[in-house]
Amino acid sequence: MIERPDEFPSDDRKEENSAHRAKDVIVPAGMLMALSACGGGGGTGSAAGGSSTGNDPATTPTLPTPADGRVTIDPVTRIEGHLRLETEIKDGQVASAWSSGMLFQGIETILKGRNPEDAWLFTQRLCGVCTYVHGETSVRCVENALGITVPSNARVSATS
Amino acid sequence: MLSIAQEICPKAKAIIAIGNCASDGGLPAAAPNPTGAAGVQDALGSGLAVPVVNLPGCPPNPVNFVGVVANYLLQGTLPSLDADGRPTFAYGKEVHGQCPYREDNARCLFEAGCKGKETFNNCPSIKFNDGTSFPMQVGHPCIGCSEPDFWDTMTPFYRKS
Repeated sequence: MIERPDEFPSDDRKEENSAHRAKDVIVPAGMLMALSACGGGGGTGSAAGGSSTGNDPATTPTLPTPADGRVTIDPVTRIEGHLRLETEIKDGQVASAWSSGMLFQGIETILKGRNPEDAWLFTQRLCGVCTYVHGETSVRCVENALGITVPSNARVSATS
Repeated sequence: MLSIAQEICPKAKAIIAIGNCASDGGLPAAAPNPTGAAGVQDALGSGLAVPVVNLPGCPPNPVNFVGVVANYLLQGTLPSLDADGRPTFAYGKEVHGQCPYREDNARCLFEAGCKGKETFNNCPSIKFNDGTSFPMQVGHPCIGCSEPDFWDTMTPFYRKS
């Protein structure tokens, strides 16, 4: 369980907090790193009252409590494509959350009617990081659809 | 994305479109282009006064990108470009003519659908990964990835064209 301070630690942050009460909060991507850095212990809110969780305060992640409303992180970086995360905060708790893939390429649509031999070359372009996994998975899909049993040697050489 | 390009690109001295998606829309622009994808030049229209250097390829070779930048730094000009906006120092020769296996019947992949005769790039000469390898060296035919709209014009990949 995450220990939460009642307020932001400084007056400045408090004003910023109240200013955001009635509207969406857009969190810049760099803030993500700042938030995760708080989790290492001794963070901004570690002095906020006694903990009833029984966890060691030095290792319990502490985050500032957002006001009621929505926190939106867009874009989430260090992934291929764009991701948008939204959380709805109520009484200091996340009441609901949504994630959205914001980069639709339409590869499934593009693949329709094409030669299945070519499919893996299209599909692997989904991602420049995990390219090979998409390619391999596409090959397996085609093999599966056509009822092809792959010899062990071929399977090993295709995945090595 | 488009609004960022419309704001930033007119202020540049030159635009270097790296990869197929930036050059001509790439894979998302393959038929039926469900998202209306387009390369930088097409997306910004003919009114764009800034020159666009296309470095197509999926993947493009980083050596060619460095070559364009070095050319500008050393000579103060962009390299000469072909009709598709590609630097001729990199995309001036067909792949097949540079391929070390073109006269090796055991390794030439033309019958397997290699598109080296229709594709202009320097892959066999400079290779990828710091000069380690290129597709035909590991036994895969060229798919023509540095030609415009190759997803539609070069397919099916494994059939002789």
